[in-house]
Amino acid sequence: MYLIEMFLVSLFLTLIIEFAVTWLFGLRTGKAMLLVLLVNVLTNPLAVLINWLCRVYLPEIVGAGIGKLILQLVIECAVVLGEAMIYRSFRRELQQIKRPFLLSFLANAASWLCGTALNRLL
Amino acid sequence: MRKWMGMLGMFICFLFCGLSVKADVIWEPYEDSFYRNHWEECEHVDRSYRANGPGGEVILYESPESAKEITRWENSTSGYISFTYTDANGVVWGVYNNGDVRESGWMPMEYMVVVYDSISFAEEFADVIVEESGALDAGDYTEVYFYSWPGAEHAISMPIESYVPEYHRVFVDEKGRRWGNVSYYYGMRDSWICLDAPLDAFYELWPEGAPQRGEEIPEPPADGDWIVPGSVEENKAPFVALIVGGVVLVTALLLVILKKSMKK
Repeated sequence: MYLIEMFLVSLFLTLIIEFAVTWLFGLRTGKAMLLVLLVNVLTNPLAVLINWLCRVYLPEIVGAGIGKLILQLVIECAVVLGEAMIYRSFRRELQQIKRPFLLSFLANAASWLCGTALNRLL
Repeated sequence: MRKWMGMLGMFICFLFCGLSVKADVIWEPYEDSFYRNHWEECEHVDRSYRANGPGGEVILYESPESAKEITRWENSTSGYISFTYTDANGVVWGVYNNGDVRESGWMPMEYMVVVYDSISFAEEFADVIVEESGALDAGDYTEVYFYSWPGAEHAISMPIESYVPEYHRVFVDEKGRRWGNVSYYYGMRDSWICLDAPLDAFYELWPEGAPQRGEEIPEPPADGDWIVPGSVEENKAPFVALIVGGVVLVTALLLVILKKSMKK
């Protein structure tokens, strides 16, 4: 139950925030939103899985504090890079995507910051 | 029909009576979802423990089956463990619950050392404590000091009410004074009174300090010997990885299809 919650809540929150950011970047058509959805379904569960596996197998290194933060940042960097490359490959099909790296960076930074803030609050 | 209704009513009353008695006798961490689902497998402990984990700390997890970390206790931090649970691998987990979900969780009892208490005292001096019943000679006393064990610094002074405290076990301390073990007296459980000087506080009884009770705190386990609620989580890991891998593959395929459809 905890695992299902972990994956679904994370994906749901990420989608809300990334839809909002990509909307601001002009990705408002049906196909553009489908692209954002697929990009996140591709990267988010993978990122959550890697984070969880590291916590299960290496709790003394990444369980808390600076180790936990470094792990999250490394995973986020990989996600930013991966999503940016996918958005860039769609530049020809979707004219709205002008700066894929900036789009990916801002979308993921926003979702990470919101997630961290929510974790602190809840 | 009326007879059946009456029996049903009696049965419901019986159920609720049972619950209220149980709630009155022991406190249970019902806020904890793992405890709620496994209360029949949990053992009542009701003692305080001190953290003594590897690397100078003990991690409190969401449950014995979840590696979600709730908080960490530095070694020497103590807390009240109400119940323990033994997992499939034989690891004993203790639950600490203070009503705040951000501070409550399960910890491996291997990393906890019991705080010396009346049970520890009874175990340590089992061979010199004798069975002997009697009642405190109240005399002129209007109040009495109740200690967790003979030599404990902390004591509670209680007024002598309508009946005098009764004891059923006796211990003679290093100075030859007799102590009586009182099972229950106005909410005080398993406490000791000095039968020869019931009005004396700790510093009057032990002006040079109390004798050492219990053993020294053992060295914490070596770093790297961490116990994690991994038995279940690790078993789930390949399955979870397989599902996520499947989702990733299908999504990647859908992205390729989307790209092709947009090219047309």
